[in-house]
Amino acid sequence: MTGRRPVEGRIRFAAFLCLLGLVVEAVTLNILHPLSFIVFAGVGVGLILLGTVFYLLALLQATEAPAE
Amino acid sequence: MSFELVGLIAVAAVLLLAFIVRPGITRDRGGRILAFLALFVLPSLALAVGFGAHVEKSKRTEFCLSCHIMEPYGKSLKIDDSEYVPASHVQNNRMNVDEACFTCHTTYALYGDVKAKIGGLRHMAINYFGTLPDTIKLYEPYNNRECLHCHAGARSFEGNDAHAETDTTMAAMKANRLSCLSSGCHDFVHDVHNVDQLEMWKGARP
Repeated sequence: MTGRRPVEGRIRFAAFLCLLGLVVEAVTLNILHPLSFIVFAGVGVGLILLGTVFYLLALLQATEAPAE
Repeated sequence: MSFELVGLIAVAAVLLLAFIVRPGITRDRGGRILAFLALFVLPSLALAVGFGAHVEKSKRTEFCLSCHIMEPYGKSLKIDDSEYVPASHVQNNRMNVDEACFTCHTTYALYGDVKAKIGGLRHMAINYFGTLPDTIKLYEPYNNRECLHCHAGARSFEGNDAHAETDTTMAAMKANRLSCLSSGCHDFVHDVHNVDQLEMWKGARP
């Protein structure tokens, strides 16, 4: 009855991606080197964007297919 | 990293962690609103603020000098000779010393900072994937506009006899027809090839 719904798995994954992106952002902001900006722009931004897009897609899928 | 940004990242991280541990929070209306905040609003905000912080950080002198190829340019800021323009500017606090490279090498025109940053990305690509030139040259001749951004209107500039040598000297300088740096007046700049042979100022500047 209280089993996990598929949307919750997706939200968990999206949250994980965003958290990873934030960790990358926090670490790169503490390193004063041009490569830190590249890592932030390439990895951090990518992870956060992927996480938010994944979350929005999960929302869309949840509204398209109402809970069983 | 500013206190606000640390707080923003920390709050977002705690909320995200909560959704990783207990994704079931989203089952009620309040949880769904919180999820929107944690998974969309805060990360987007952290991204925008973080990007701005990275751009600000990239203006710092240590940032530019952290690349090996820039070391002699950093050293040239310590030359003990007031004829050397960058050294005398840094040693006499004529600019924000923490942003010394950026202050003189940005373009004081619309989108100048953006252009400088894109140029920086190009430098990085050359540094890691290209062939490093023996002498680093500017993409285009140094524009007097960058000097005049600070010096125009200053008594030391406007009232200098050499700058009023002829009726047209001042106008030519302001129109960038007579270069401050390459017309034989202020032509000692970084001189990186001879920097090791020059006397260094052992003052307070790092």
